[in-house]
Amino acid sequence: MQPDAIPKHREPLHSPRHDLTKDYVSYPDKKNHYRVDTRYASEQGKQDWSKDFPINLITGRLVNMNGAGIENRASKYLAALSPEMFCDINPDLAGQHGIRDGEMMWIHSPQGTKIKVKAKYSYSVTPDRVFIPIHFAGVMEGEDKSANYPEGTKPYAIGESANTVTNYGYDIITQIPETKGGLCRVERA
Amino acid sequence: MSSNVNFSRMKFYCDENRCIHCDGCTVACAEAHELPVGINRRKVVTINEGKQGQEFTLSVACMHCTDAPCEEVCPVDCFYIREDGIVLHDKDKCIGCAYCLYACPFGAPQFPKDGAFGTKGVMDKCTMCAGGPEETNSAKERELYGQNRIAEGKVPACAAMCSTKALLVGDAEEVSNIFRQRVMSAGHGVQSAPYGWDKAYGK
Repeated sequence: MQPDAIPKHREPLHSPRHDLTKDYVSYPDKKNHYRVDTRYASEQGKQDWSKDFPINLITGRLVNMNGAGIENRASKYLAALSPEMFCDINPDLAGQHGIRDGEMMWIHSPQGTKIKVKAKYSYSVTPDRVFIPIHFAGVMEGEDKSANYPEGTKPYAIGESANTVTNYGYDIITQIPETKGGLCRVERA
Repeated sequence: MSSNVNFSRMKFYCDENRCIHCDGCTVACAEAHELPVGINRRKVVTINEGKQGQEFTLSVACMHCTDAPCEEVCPVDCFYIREDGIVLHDKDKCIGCAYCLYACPFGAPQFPKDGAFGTKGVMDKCTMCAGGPEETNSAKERELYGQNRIAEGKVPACAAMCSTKALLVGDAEEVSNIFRQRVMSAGHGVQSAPYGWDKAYGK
């Protein structure tokens, strides 16, 4: 069933432009959406999320990895190319927060979770957003959990999981999580 | 080369309009020759990352120079240049002085072994998958220099792997023909270069 006869623009639940969420409001909340009561408009209108979390959080793949990461990080040559979790950050934004290239930084999400990652200066992101790759796992909120891998299965490269800080939000038809349109706050570690 | 025969010269060329920095060539090379981790016979380099119009990505290895500086400076003359232009070296002669590393404009020579007081082990570099002076396809050649794909009529592993066909290798004349065709057909007919931001949205 199609929620919009013709697809129309709706602002993300956690929009960097809170003023637009009144005109481009999300769907009404959906009860029993694959057995889960899922929030849409109520989450979007709850507060101005962009006030405390002004930075866009973008996640995605790295071109030298192909899967989600668990196979790739177990390859010694690929692990040598991307040995650890990082965050692409524009030098202008990093400068405002005193984050130096190659130093550790915290990314805080609206739901109260955080990850500790290495800052990588890059002009491929604008100063209003940061990019984190999806491929890593094994560290949780700054704590190394790699001892929990079954014996002999620990990959060469581990790092914070991007999913720890991706924001609340689910597709109205398929319940697929929203991993690309979120907000965050950065801080030097 | 004093005869009238027009010898071919083997060359690498990386089309910077196509290279996407996937590191496929680096990994294919390392896997094919079973290199130690951290030794890159071939590297992918991006400069000015994210700067519109200034970003370039290139895959670099030994460029098999016609007038190879490494060969010029080598004190023990371990380098030799094949008839077809492939620059190779003899690991049994190499003394690991690293003069070639200083001479090479591309940073191709690699030193997998390290010793006390800054001494280096024998040099290792891209062979264009043509092995070395040992008997072709012998176990010793395989161990010292990696696969000899050229002897089997195969394309070097890096160019065979290249998913966007940015990395070209072969007879210099053929490589330049392919590149010329790409340049001539740019902008009409079959799309030959991937769309960037400029093409899609303007500067």
